[in-house]
Amino acid sequence: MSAELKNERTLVLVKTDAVMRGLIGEIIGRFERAGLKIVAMKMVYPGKEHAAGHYSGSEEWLKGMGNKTLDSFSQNNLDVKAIMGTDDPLEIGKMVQQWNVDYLSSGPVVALVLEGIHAIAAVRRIIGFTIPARAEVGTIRGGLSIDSNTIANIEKRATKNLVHASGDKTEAEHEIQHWFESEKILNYKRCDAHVMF
Amino acid sequence: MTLALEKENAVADFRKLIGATDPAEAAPGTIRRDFTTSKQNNIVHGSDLPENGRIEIAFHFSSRELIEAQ
Repeated sequence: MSAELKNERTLVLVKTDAVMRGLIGEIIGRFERAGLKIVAMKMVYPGKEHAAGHYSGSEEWLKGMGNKTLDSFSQNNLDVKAIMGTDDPLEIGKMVQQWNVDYLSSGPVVALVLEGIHAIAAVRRIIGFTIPARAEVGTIRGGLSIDSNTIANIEKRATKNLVHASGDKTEAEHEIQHWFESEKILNYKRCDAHVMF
Repeated sequence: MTLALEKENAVADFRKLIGATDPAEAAPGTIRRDFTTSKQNNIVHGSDLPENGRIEIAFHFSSRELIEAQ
């Protein structure tokens, strides 16, 4: 039980806006300093197909994303029909999915697998809220970006939020095998492990 | 962790940044001077000559793994 907790894994992508801005080391350093162990890492320039395969893409998932986007339009007092041409959650979900794929495949990204206690939740906490403009100060997104979904929605593009991290165990499993062959995930001990755990 | 780095005069400048192989001889502010005291565990490797840079990059990376600078 305790071993399982210590070895939870999550997938992180340092996305192309972070790479272009020279923030790879800054971002990965924060995970390292928190005590998370990097067990796989590489730089890739993803094609559209590979980028699309990163996301679940199921109808339910697309609808969920569509609904989130609808909420953000209404919170920002934006006319969804005028901008998107529809207010159907599934159709909007598909468009947003396309924005995400375009964003993810627009340049090189650094993919890594991190391991540690509650790694999935720990990484999400360090990264901060999805939208940089509303992310907490001190988090990666709150401290290193100011992009906002208000402007992103108007410009019909993804919000550039520097980093992706798996949201739950199912996502982590899918994403880790999507980016890494199992033999590329390495087994070693960090020398601070006996102090921390 | 293996990286290919690119800049004008990258080989010589990176050697300057990491410092001498023996941390005792490495200049203040270099990586080896600041992060190690062991000549054996000297933390980082950098190609010593442009020719070896090409050889080592070809050894560690296939050409399609090298991403063109934007």
